[in-house]
Amino acid sequence: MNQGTQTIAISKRSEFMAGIKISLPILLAVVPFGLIAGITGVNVGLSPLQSLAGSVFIFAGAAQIAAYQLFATDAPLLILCLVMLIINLRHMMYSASIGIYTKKLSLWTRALFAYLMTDQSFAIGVLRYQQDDTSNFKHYYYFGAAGIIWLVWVVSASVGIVVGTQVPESWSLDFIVPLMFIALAIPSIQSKAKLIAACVAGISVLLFQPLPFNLALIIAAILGISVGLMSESYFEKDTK
Amino acid sequence: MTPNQVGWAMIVIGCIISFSLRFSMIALLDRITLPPLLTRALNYVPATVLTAIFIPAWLLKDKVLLNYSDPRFIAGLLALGIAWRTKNILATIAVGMASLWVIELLLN
Repeated sequence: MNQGTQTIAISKRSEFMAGIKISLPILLAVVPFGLIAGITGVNVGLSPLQSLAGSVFIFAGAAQIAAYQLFATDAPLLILCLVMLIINLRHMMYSASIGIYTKKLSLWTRALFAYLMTDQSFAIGVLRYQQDDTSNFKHYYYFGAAGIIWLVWVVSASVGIVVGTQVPESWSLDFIVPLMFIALAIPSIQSKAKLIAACVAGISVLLFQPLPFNLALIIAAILGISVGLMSESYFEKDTK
Repeated sequence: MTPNQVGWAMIVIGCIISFSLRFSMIALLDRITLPPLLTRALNYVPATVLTAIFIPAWLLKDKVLLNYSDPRFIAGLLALGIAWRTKNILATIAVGMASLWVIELLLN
């Protein structure tokens, strides 16, 4: 099966195992996210069961943590939902991008595929689908990757829930939250236009901070996106 | 609503929102085409929204801007640099936390 440097995975099982294998280094980053999501949940006053349910059913660390932090400030439910919607809008782009490869799967398989989709499993899945070989089981590769990420995420969140309230304050572990968002935001800034958009959003969110219900976040996003789109056409004109 | 009820409502609605967004195009792509401008705008969502989250989480304490000599300001700057260079989540968090601990240790 191994032909030179190219291993062509041909069975459901080998695709699944290869998907797990490629994900192992990524799990190192999944563990702290899961821990933080679990810890943040109980720290803002959710019950352990609620925090676990959030990690299993919302299954979106950034959205969970942002919503949890707003929950702690007694923000209205509508704002909590809007924030989760905005932060998870990227999943709609992922859905559009990977959806061209999943048309032949049954609706239930596609539903499971969608439920398990994270930034990481999306990236891994697209890379596999873009390879030239004619394997009929590329979705098993995705399910291997997405499945192991899901499992490690849920276990880490559970550990965070159990140990979360016992972490001494002097360790400054709450600082992991802004650090995590820095780690997520910076790699998403892949062009000059996106850098400008991010700067506009970052400055605006501070300027609009006095507004209630975290409206600053929504206004900052809209302003950043608008300026980004405008500067995009400017840069395009510039290079052509 | 009690905080407990708000908590459950947040989780149930959050579940519906995140699943709907993930499933949307996987379920509908053969029938729906998004307008090009919307597709381009969606492209900017991660960079703008995530930045608008980390900036106040990092720079504000009790709604007041951090002093430039605050350990969290300096540690955050280092983390930004690492994130920019490595695009590595683990390295960013590790360097940020380690530098915060070291700076706080030196100041005490």
